[in-house]
Amino acid sequence: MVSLANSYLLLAAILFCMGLYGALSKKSAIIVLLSIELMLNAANLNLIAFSKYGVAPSITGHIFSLFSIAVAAAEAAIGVAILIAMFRNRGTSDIVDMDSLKR
Amino acid sequence: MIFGIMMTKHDGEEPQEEKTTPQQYTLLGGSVALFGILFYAIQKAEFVPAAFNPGVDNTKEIGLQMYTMHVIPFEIISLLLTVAFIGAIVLAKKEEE
Repeated sequence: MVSLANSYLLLAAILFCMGLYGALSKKSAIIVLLSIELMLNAANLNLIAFSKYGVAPSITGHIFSLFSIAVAAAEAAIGVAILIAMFRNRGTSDIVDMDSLKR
Repeated sequence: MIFGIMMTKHDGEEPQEEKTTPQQYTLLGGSVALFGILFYAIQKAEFVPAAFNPGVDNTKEIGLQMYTMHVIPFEIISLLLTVAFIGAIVLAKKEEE
């Protein structure tokens, strides 16, 4: 049975896998942040899809996804601020150079 | 997101070809495997068709729910956003020397 819910979930799975690969493999910290946003949006898409096609459909999923969008905005702001401070102090935005906790 | 894209470097002056390490191949394989598992699970799943009552006006319904049933999380989220943005400004502002 191919319903519309399957296609929503498939899109979310594709987005999540792309975000996972990007977050773990890229070297620029900004692209890593973007990939994390991609994964969060995949989770939001799942919330919306299940709020319509799930076992107990209700509008609560929409509200959950609104809250998670707010948390994602906070996370992106903090991430970019940390990146700016890092670039000012170290002069690099490369993930590989961020290893001062290792030494 | 658009600001993030604008902040990436795309002046193609130094090509600096990224070497694909064995870890990256493993990572690619792992991601594709995860997608395969998810694909299989999604195709296997059966969805019980249930009646969804979105209300007459979806946006209005969301607003009503958010301000009646979910007021406390809403307030906490607003507090969290305020704290996060103030923290971001404090982190990113120029330090005076």
